[in-house]
Amino acid sequence: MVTKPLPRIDAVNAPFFAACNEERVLIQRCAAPECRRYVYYPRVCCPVCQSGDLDWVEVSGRGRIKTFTVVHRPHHDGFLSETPYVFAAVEIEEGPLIYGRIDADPARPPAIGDAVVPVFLQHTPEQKLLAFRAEDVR
Amino acid sequence: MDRNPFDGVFIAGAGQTVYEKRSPKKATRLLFEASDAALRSAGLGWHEVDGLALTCFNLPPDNVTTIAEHFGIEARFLFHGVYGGASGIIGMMHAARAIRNGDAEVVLCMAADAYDVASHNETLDRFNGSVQNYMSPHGFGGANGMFALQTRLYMERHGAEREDFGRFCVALRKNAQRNPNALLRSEMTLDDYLNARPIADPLRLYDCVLPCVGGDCVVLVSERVASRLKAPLVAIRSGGELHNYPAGDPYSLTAGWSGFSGRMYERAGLGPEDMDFAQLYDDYPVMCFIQLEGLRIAEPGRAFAFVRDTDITTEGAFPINTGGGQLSAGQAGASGGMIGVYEGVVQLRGEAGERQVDCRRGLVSGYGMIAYGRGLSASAAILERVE
Repeated sequence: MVTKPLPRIDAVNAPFFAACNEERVLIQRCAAPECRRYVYYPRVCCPVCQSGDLDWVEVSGRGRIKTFTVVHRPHHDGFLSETPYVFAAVEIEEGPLIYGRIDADPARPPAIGDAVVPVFLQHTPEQKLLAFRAEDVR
Repeated sequence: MDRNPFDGVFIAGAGQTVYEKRSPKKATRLLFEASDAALRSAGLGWHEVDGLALTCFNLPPDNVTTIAEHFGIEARFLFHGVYGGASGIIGMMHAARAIRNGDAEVVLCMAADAYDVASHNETLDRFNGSVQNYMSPHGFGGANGMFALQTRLYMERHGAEREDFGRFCVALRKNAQRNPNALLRSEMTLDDYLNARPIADPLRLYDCVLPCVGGDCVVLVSERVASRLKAPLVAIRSGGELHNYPAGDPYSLTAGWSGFSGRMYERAGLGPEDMDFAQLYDDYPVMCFIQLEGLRIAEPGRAFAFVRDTDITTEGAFPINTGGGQLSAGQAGASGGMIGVYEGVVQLRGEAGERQVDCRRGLVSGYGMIAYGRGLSASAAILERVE
């Protein structure tokens, strides 16, 4: 069996991935008083005001689907057994855009603008990853 | 008005390898073959080369400096592109500035790669940290998945339909049929396009470029060198680049062209209506629509209507990607950023054979460095035949 690609965990992103394993959405927030923007993916500075001071904060992970696709032909053989599946860009309530899988029937895909809530998928034995499902299952 | 920073610099030759699905050739050899062909078309020898501008994704651990050694070139100017498919044009502009400054006189601007589907996916998986850590582990579907997201949003926001992208792809295939170097030359109908196997909805097979093996090169020279050449010359009338635009928004459906095209035309003293063709970066049809809008050939959000109403084949009113583009010639990695420049130069030199269009000026465009949800780099230039 082909192993799925794993994120490369480092000093910058370790809190995010550790929180995923605890089924919590932990993202960064700019500490500059005049900015205070939420930041995802994990970075070394705020991409809006370039402050080097970022806090880790827990957020709900609720958001709306910005756009999505149904992947039939994955980029990596590790995903072959899961096709077809829904992959989406989700704009969370706090602002940032997060990419992840949508836990949905690919034959009944979501729509742009649908509300979603976080779920955590067991990606590999050692790592859960943030994903989403529809808030109201229709 | 600003001076044209590329005045007194000329494109004196262009070379291309045959595009192949498979080949034992290494990228290094493809770079050599495309460069050798470009020098021959210019009537120049290797001993005259004093600069290289190179882009190649599967070259590491080698780079433009070690290639200079491998080829035996003493170089006064070297550039290695890190802007993905925007690099070809950016490298050409850097080379032109160097020549104009007197830093070099004969610069080969080259790109090549040797890919198949699997190795292309491997490269993209590790293209940069944001893809490797925050897209690939989720099964994003590679470039196909990323541009499926862009395509769906474009369709939803502007009302484009699958048929609009299909018309574009079918026209490019017609152009490829007259290009002996193109990989995909069999006839394709709109039905073939619409019914192809799904890859990443709404994208199907013929929305996606075929990774392949190939290389392209153009040679830039100073006025002094150009004055003794017999080959037809092409001038760079203007150009531009923009990266991470607009910052923080992968879904503006603009990329960078709209941010610099006004200044690009102004510097040339020309407008979109003066262009006789466009060689767009066609990794996916949606990006061509976005380029047509950003380069002001079509109204914002209306490129699909432009393509409905305009024949873009080599026989049409506004030819686009006259050699079939990457969508039909194939995407040889980094060469995707140079194939349009090669094609534009060959057209302006009147050397395009069966696919020759009537032209004096045209647009060439580049796009690349796929990262968090989009390509980060856009480039373009206006090329003109020297009378």
